[in-house]
Amino acid sequence: MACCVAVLIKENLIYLRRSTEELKFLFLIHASIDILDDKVNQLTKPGGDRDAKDFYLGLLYPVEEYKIYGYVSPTRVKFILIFEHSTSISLKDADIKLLFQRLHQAYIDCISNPFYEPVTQLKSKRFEQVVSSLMVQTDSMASSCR
Amino acid sequence: MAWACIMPEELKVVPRGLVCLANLDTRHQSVHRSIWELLEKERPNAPLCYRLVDIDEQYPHSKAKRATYEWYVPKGILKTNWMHKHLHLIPSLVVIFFELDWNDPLFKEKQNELKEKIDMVRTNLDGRGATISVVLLQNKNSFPTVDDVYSSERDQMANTLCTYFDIPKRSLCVLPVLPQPDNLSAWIDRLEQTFIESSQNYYMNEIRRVKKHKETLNNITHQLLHIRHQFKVGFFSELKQDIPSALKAYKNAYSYLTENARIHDTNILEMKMVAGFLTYKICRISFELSQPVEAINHFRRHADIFKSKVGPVDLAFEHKAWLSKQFQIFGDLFALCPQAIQTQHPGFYYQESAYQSMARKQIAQTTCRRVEQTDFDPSEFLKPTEFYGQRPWRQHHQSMEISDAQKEREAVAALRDAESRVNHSELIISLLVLAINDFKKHSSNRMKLYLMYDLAEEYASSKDYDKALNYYNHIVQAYRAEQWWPILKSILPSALKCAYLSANLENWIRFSLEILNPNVNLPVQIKTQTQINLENLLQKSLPPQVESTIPSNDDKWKALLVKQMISIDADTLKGLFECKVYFTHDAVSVDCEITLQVALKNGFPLPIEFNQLSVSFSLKEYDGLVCVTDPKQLTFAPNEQRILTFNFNPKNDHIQRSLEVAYVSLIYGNANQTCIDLQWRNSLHATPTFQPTTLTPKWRTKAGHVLWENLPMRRKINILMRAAEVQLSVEHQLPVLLYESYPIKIRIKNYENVDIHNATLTCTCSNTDDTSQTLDDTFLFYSTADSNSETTTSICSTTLETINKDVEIEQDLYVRCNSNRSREIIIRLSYERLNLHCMKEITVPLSVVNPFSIQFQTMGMMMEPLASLRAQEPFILMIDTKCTSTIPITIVSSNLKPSQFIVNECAIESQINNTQLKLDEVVTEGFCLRTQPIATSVVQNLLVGEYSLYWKRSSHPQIPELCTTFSLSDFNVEQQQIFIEVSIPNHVPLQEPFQINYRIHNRSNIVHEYKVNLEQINLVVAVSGSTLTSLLVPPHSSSDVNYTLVATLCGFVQLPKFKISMIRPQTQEIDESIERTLPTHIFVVPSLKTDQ
Repeated sequence: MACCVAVLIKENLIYLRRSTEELKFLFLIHASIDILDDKVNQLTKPGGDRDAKDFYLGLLYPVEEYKIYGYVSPTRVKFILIFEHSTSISLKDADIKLLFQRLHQAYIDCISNPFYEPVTQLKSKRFEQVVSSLMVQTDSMASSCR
Repeated sequence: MAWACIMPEELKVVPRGLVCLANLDTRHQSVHRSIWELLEKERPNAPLCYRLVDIDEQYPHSKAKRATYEWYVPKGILKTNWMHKHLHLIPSLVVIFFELDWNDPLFKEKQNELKEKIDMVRTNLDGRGATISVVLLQNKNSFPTVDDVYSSERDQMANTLCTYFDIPKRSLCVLPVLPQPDNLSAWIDRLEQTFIESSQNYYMNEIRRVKKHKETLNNITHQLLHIRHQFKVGFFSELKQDIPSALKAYKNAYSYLTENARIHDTNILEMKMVAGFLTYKICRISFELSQPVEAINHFRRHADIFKSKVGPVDLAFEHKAWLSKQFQIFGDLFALCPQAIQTQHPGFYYQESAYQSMARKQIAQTTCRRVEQTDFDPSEFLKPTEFYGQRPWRQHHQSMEISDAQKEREAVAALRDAESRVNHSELIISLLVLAINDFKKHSSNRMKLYLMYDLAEEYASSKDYDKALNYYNHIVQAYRAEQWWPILKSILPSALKCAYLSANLENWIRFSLEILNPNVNLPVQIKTQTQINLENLLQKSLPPQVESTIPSNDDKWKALLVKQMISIDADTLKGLFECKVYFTHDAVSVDCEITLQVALKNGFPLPIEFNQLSVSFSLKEYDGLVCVTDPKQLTFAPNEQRILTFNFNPKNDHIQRSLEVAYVSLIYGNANQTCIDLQWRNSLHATPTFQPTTLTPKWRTKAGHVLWENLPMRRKINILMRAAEVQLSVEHQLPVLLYESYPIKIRIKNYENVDIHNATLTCTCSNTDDTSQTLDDTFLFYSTADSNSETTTSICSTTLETINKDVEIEQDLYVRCNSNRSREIIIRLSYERLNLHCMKEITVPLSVVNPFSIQFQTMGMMMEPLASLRAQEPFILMIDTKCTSTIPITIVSSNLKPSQFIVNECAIESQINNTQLKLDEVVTEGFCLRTQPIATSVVQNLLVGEYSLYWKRSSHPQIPELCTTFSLSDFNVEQQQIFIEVSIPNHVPLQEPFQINYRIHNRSNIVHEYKVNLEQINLVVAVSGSTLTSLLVPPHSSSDVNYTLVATLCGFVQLPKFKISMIRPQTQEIDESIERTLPTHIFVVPSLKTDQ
């Protein structure tokens, strides 16, 4: 079960939803900016895979209790999913990539709203629904795998 | 101290085979000392560990070896003294050094003495398998030379000696080093090789011996032995320097432990500790073999397996301590590996170690308390044990049940007592600092912030508030800079508390202001309380009110409140209180007022009254001009925004300088007491380069109400000279023609409300093309009369006596340009008005073009083009003049002046007087000329004459015309041998005979004889009489041939063809081109009607 979903532009947090009000999530998301930036820089270096449309960056860094995954859109919007360590064992990279793509699509739909002001908090019912489904669905996926 | 954290030193050292050196007198014998020093020298990858022993050293006794394990129940896995024993006490080899020469006179006695020593060592070894080696130290002179190394006699002696000592022959070595060694280190290297061999032999035997037990073990009662034996094999392999085997053995032990062994509450500590030891060994070896991935994977598995194996709940802190230690030692090992990367480096492990320690601390704080009075001795439960990881009070206990519950309870109490005495904070802080260093090294600054927060909290909880504040300050700034308000919201209250407790006024104010920031989403009561505290402190000098849970620190606070000014960098307040300054104009003329507006926006949750607002400028003379102390203007309601307007005059001596706002200062609090000074500096600079432009424009919402975002920011104003109230304009028609006096009409209109006197009009030329340095190809003058005088230069100036009010005057300016460069003319009018210097300036860009181009060509009398002229023959010179400027020009007249080599056939007069030419129009005139006789047969580059054109631009007839002269040169002249001059009427009437005369000139120095024939082509023009004749022409003279012809048809008819050929001299031929100089046609008109 994804226990935290975050969307960032540069280092600005424009969306955050977490299963519990834990400060830790914020720190973890903030800390993963370093690694996301670094990975994106490596990808876009000359000789890197410039043509890739979006980047699924995989597991960002090891933390004991959680697994933190990152994904970057072509316009460098950062998406972060955090899973609890225990539930994420059954998840494969391909599954997670799929989740990210759904999130990305939802984000695109959301910012296509002409009344959305760029780089402000995302406030969209539809987006919330997708996020909720992500958080619930992965749960059911994990349970079905068990 | 919790047992779980023990990491024995013996485990951490790299095992090396132990070799005991006996009978070396290092204190008195220098040779012995050198040998010892060379062996003991610090070397990387030293294979052996040497120890000096006395000859009668007692070695640990060997236990009776068990033949079978059938009825044996092991008491534990690993004895605490086992590693120490094999590292430092039990040698793999004992080397006895002895000075004995083969030819020693006392050989027998010494041999016996040595035998005694060997026997003593052998007895002391007590059945241990260590080899005994003997090294004989001999005089180097008695050592055999190459020739007799294998002398059988010596061999025989050595053999005898070995048999006598009962040692294998390999174990006897000879060192020829007395009395002074030569090249000792080479000898020692060779000696060491034999040591290594013996030592490894010993360990191999040990390994074999241990492995042999395996067959006799079963999997039920001997689980511990399986692990123990594999561990021993691994350890011996390491001693033998067989690293891959060691790794394999340790891995076997580990997998046996985790997969087969029963782990339960009573033995969990032992299992965990041994697992930890094995993991340490496995990881260290993997790192050393440059297989960090292997090490990391193993450790991850290890951590995953044991994380959940907490063991007895009462001793949960012990589990955490153990886990923390595991992470820490893995971090230590990782730190030695150079292959760390951003996402995988020791910092993560130190971080986790710190978190486990925090968890331990938390458990310890809730469950552990000191035991004050007991009926048992707590130290009884903390004694060292025989086996690693066992409980002192029930050593060797192997069953799953606890036999003595009372004792167990006492033991738990004793352990908790010990735990409560541990300084956890110190531990956590040291771990966090290690982690921070690693994150810093791997450019993870944001992760570092996270750890710094943990560190600050830890310092705060250990009451080290000053250090905590340091870190809080850093992280608050960093998170604010990135605008991560949710994190700030969580950090700030504890930071504020910390500042209060350490009585740090500056930080307290800073954090209070941060809390009041509207972006920080804290409950209203916290915010209002914070602002009330701040107000009380600054306005009423009351120490802040705090929650009852925090110990009061009022005394210290009262002492703090003295007269002081605390500067706060208000740029960082972002949203709490914003300030924008802007001058209403970019530039101001010195006689006008400067208007400066200061916009302020309040974000404080409660109304606030400031004490003073002032603005400082880059020019100190203006400081103090903008200052408000009126409380009415400085009281702000929440979310109120206000614009204050200030007017002041610029100072005369600041003309041409710019005035800049340095900073805005807003003082809160009484100046005689503690007050804070909010200063805006950097945020006043130009707005950031990229601002997301909103799609929906923000308009004024209400009349008079301006949206904050729409307010400009302009902190710079230029002070200018008073602008002249005149209109300066020019009228001219580009382009400028090269060399002409280009007319520019300057118009000056006075818009001042008085007459202007003594105005100076100055015109200068500035180069637009920077590369050319010369300015002297432009001449400026006000009247065409000056145009040719020597005084004209590239600058000209005149004084205009009076320009009446509202009157426009005109002034002509002429510019002559002597090159094609484009250039600018600056026209400046300056005068004094009200004691102020006024100036008006305009710039006129000029482009210069050539007015026309000329082209000339020469033709023969038949209008045929001539490549070169013929001497003494007439020719026609055609001159084309083409206009190349976009404006029309007028050719006033032209003049051709022939040179001395040319005579003119007729009078020369201009044919193109007063011709106007537009762009690309061409005018042509022609002159008939004849060349003078020439000295040689060919003359090159003959100057024909000079051609002058008198011209001007058509638009300005009053300007005197200009004369442009071209030199006509570059003609070639050739002397021809023969020249035929033809006399023929221009036209002849029909059917009337007419004469045609061919005069043949011989220009050579010899007599020519020609054959001449007028060839009848048709009967249109008929020839009368004979047509063929011969002709003799003397040198430099001529002869005539006359024909009478009659035309029979009207029009332009062909004449009979005149042919001439040379009879004498025969060698010469007549150039055929001569035919082209002869007329071929004649115009025949109808016969005149006569009156007859």
